[in-house]
This record gives sequence, structure tokens and C-alpha cells, in this order.
Amino acid sequence: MLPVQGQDTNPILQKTEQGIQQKVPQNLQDQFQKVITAGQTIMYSGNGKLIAQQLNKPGDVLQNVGEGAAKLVGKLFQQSGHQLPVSLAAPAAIIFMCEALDYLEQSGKIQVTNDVVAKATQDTSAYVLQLFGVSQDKLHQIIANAHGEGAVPHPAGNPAANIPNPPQPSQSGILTSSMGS
Amino acid sequence: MGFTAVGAVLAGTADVATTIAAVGEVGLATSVVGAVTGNSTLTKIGGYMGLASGVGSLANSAFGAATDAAATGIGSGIQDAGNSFSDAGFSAQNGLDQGYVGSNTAESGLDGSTGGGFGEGVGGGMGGGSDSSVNFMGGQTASNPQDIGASVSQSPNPTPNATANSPADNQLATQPDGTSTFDDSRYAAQAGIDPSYTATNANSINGTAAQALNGNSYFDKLANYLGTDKGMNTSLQLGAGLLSGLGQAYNANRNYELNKDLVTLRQNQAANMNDQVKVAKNPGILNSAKG
Repeated sequence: MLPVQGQDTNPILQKTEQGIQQKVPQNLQDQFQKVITAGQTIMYSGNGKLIAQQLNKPGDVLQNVGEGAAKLVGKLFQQSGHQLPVSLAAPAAIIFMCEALDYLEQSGKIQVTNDVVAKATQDTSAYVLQLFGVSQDKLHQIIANAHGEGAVPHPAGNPAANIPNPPQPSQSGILTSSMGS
Repeated sequence: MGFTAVGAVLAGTADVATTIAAVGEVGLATSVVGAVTGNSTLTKIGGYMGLASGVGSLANSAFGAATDAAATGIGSGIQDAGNSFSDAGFSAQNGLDQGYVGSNTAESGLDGSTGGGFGEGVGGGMGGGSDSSVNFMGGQTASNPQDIGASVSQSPNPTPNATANSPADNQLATQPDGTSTFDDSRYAAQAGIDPSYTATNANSINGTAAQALNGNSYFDKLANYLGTDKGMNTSLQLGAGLLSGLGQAYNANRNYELNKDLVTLRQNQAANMNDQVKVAKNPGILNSAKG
């Protein structure tokens, strides 16, 4: 198994990357390595201008991390001719997230703790789901369908109706906000 | 083409299978990070997403295949059972065989649901050892496709139309016996779970989930949803429903064994009658007296 983690010095980030990599199917490890390498190349292109622009923009820094990681996955998906497997997209996004967190820590802007990694993972996961067209409404719908409420009235009403409405992505998607067209 | 166009392309081309797979993969990654960071809420959310994804895959492929094959078993096996008592035993055997074929088909379906299926979604997702894994793994164990196939094929009141081939048709809400409502106490009873324990367990997990996250983000709301009674009921009902299928498979096998015993008994009785007839044909003391 090839190590995909970069120069992360934080042990939490290293353990996270190792854990993610171990979950990637063995037959996809080589492809996964290529995806990570390609993503890091894009991330640090222009002498790091791209990652700096993404992570230093106004707003919550961890949301910026998650958004940037999802953007990279989207870019790679595009460049692969839509052939990038979903089973690699989510793990790759987490690896990119770790890379960005390490960048921020080495820049002295944050201190990476378990809570920081957990919060960044939430944001990253949410953005990746949105990238694949899975809004919170759709996620709840999947759960509701698994529950079988599509055809049978629930005795206590429809649980999906009680779920708070999620913040909907903008018309052009999450990728619009920072990168522009 | 810039980043903006990528978002549009992804959102426009993601089909149902991709969506389900994405949910499962994100759930798996979330669970891994939850395990590494010791964040139980992340692990639970990831596990639940894996479960939902796995159920979706199961509903799309394996369960429908198992039902179809098992329905064939019902038609060829059970329909002939009324001809004679002896035939019923062989028909039951036929039904079991058909159910086994169906279970193999179901297993193929499960194998096909990589990433979003139970194997990766729940098995991998629960690697962190969250306390909620007990509930989910219970459902996973009960979802042995062979058990599902056997239970459907041996159902005493087969209702093939009770299941369908898409999630919208609610096949998982519909049990092999044709009932289609969710009743916590009924499922708890079928699964051998004390209803009071079910309620206590749900409340305990609810408290953990509700306290773990405060906020309004996407995942916070999901955690809150999973922390509600309905969210927990969903998982409990899914697990219990699958357990009920396991119970029906057990009952079906038990009925089959009883039928076999009954056939043997009747055969013995018939043999005894034959012996008695043979004895009667022999000239005994009555014939001797008459003669």
C-alpha cells in the first residue's frame, strides 16, 4: 500500500489519512494515489496561490477548508471525464481536507485538534454530498424511503416533514462562490 | 471549463445509484474520522448514512431479486402442497431449494452494492466501535440474504405482490407476511426485544446525539434528526424488521421439519396397516373355527 499522506506533521492528521487510506479498496489504491497526487498538484499550483486564496477568504476557515476540498474533487471528476469513482471521491476529499488543515497549522492560523478535524470533516462531507447533488432534503428522503414511507403512511405522520429545511445551495452550486466562473 | 460548470455537471448527472453510493462513501469517511478523533457523533452519523445507503442498495437489487426467486419457489412448491399430504413434504423441500437459489441471487446483489452496501457502509463504518453499532450490526446480521430468501419462500401466507422493485414501492416496509405497517411494539416483540428496553435505549442514544452537537449546520441538523424518536425508531424498526425475517425463516424451517416428521409418522402408520391387513389375510382361529 503506497502512502498517500503528504508532509503532515500533526499526528491526528496522519492517523486520519492512514485510516482513510485503509478504507480504500486494495484494487483502487494505485488510482487513489494518482488522484491525491493530481489534487495536490492543483492545490499548490501557482506557488500555492490557489490554496491560499481559498483558505484566506472571509468566512469560517473550516468551511473554507471543506469547500476547497470538495472543489478539488469536483475538478478531478471533471478532468477524469466523469470516470472518477465515487468510492475515491469521498476519501480523497478527506485527504485534501487534512492537507489544507496542515497548511493552516503550519501557517500558524489554527491549531489542529480532534474537534477541529471533526468539524472540518462535517463541512467537507456536507460539501461533497452537495457536489453529488445530495441535499439534506434528499439525504432525509433516502432515509425515509429506506423506512418505507414513500407508500405507507407513518402512524405518527411523515417524519421527513419534521426535518428542518436545509440551507439550499445556490443556483449554480457550491463551486461558484469562491472560484468564480 | 471552470469550477462552476463542474458543479452543474455533477448535480445534473448524478443518478440514483450514484447518489446512494455517495451517501455511503461519505458516511464511511465520516465514520473513519469519527473513530480517529473519538467523536462518537461523527461515527453515528456516518454509520447511519452507511445504513441508509446499504438499505437503498439492498432495496434496489438484492431484496427484489430474492423476492422474485422466492415467489417462484412459492408457485412451484407450495401450490402443489394441497394435492396430498405426502406431496406437501416434497413441495416444502422444493420451496426451500428455490429459496436458497433466491438467497444466492440476493447475495450477488449485496456483493454488487460496493461501497454503499452493508459490507462497506455499515461494516466499515462501524469500525470505530460506536455504541450504536450494536443496533446496526444486529440488523446486518439479520439481513443474511439466505434467511430472507428462505423466509419469503416458506411464508405460510405468501404475498408476492407485497414487495416490489423500487424503494418508492416500499418493499422494506412490507414484511414477507404481507403486513405493511410499523409498530414498534410488534417489531420489538418479534425481535425478542423488550419494548420498555427499546424505548429506554432509544432515549439514551437520543440524549447522546442531542448533546453532542449544537448548531445549525447541515450535519448538526442531521444529527438532531437522528436524535429524534423517529430517527431512532427508523433504525430500530429496520433492524427489528430484518430480525423478524430471520424469525420467519426459523419458523419455516421448523415447519418443514415438522412436516417431515409427520410424513414419516403417516408412512409408519400405513406400514402398520399393511401389516394388519396381512395378518387378517392369514387364516386364524376364526377361520379355523368357521372351517
